[in-house]
Amino acid sequence: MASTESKRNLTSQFAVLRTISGKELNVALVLELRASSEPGIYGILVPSDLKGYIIVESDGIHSVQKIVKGVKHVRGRIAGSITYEEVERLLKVKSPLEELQPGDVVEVVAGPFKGLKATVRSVNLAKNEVEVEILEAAYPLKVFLPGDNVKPVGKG
Amino acid sequence: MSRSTRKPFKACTKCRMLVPHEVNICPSCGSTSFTDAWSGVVIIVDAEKSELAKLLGIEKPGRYALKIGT
Repeated sequence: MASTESKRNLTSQFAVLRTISGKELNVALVLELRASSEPGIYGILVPSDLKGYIIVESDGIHSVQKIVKGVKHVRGRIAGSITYEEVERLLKVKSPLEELQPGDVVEVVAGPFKGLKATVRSVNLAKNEVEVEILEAAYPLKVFLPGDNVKPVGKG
Repeated sequence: MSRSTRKPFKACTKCRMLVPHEVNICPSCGSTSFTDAWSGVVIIVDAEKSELAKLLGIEKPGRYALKIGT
């Protein structure tokens, strides 16, 4: 533990702010402006898969309180702070396609095949595309769908 | 009825820096390739002291996308 701790700046703290959902970026931009006059703020994180929350990296809670005071759309601060490891986990955003394997069963959630189940045939991460075979079709029907149009249902 | 809102920034596909739509050349890396398909934002205020910057390999302060692609 001592070796990993020694590599890190121990003065960094991560405070979590609650915001109105959908206003995370607006709040972060206002905080960025205010942070230019507050040397204790190091960074602001708006995670893509955590709606209604932003994380502020600072030298302490007092710096965060200074810049947050009176900012519109901020609904408060979560007591305490989160650890470096938790932030690290949030930053490693994984595409849902990365977890899909050929043979997995997915549900189509958008497009003309919405609501139908399908089997994954191949996954193209570069194009964010998945080739599936619609299960409920009367004949073998293979289609290419955008990665966002499918939801994993079960493993093959 | 869904209301589509345009993102206020586009992301450089090379260094992931977020820039306004009217900018044609990335001020960070000089790339001219941008995308609107990005998600997550990290704003680096103090690149030297920020652990976030070190974790993501960012050396210059600014706004960056966490992920490129939908």
